[in-house]
Amino acid sequence: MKKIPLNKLIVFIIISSFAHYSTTAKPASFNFKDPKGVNHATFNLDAPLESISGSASGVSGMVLFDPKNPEKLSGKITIDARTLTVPNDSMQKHLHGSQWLDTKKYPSITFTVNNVSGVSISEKNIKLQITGTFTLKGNIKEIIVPVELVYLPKKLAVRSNGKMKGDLLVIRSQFTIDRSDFSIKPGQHLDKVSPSIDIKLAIAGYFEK
Amino acid sequence: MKKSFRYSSIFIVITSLVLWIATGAHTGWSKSRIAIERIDPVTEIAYPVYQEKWVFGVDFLVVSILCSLIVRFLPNLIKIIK
Repeated sequence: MKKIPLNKLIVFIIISSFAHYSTTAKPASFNFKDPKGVNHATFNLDAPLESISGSASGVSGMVLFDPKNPEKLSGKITIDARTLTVPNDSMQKHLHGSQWLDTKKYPSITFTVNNVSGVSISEKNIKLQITGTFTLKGNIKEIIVPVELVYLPKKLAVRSNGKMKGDLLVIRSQFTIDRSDFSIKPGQHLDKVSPSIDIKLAIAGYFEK
Repeated sequence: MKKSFRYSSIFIVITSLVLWIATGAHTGWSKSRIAIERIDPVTEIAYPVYQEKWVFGVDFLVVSILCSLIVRFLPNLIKIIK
């Protein structure tokens, strides 16, 4: 029987183990629950005297992401509508009230990924178009949003002061919705508040290894 | 009597103007909190942090001017009613 040299055997084992890894690699599950309060969504409605803008920090959700196959991204992001904050107290009461967002009855705003297209990868980021189901005030609508991803491998340790090890995934998106599509005073107060709402999302999720 | 009402009216206008200018002469609605932008050094996400701070807006100025006008012409109104 022919003997295989030890060094060749070691090289073979290493290569075969890498091949096994590449064929069985699973996308990492990124958790977007953020105790630091950095994750947020901002909204802006144009109005005559001053545009109405505010933000929500209650972000949670899981996203499956494989940096080698970004088109296979999937997941769901939830925003706690009760965390929506605007600078004016009386405006805030109106916003959370039954006439506007009715956050007692509909406490969650969600976005579920259905399909990914138009992936463009650069050194800095990954840009893609996501078709997803957007739920607001109990109304469900499929929308297409442009998304920018920044994958930060091994950066979880820096962010958690060495308490955890893993990767970070930053998601940024900016899109516009029509408030009438989501039963937010449809066709009303058009002279006072814009019919469209600009939404900006900037969130970071972590994958602990 | 009339003089004291006139002075009170001027006092209301001046006080409200001073308060409005002192809190930043904001030309929008009054605010009970302000958003300060912070940047997360790792992810570079710019995020708002709210701070409780009263900022007087133009709605406050309008109400103050209306109040001062009411005070200024109160003696005349009382006369008409009598």
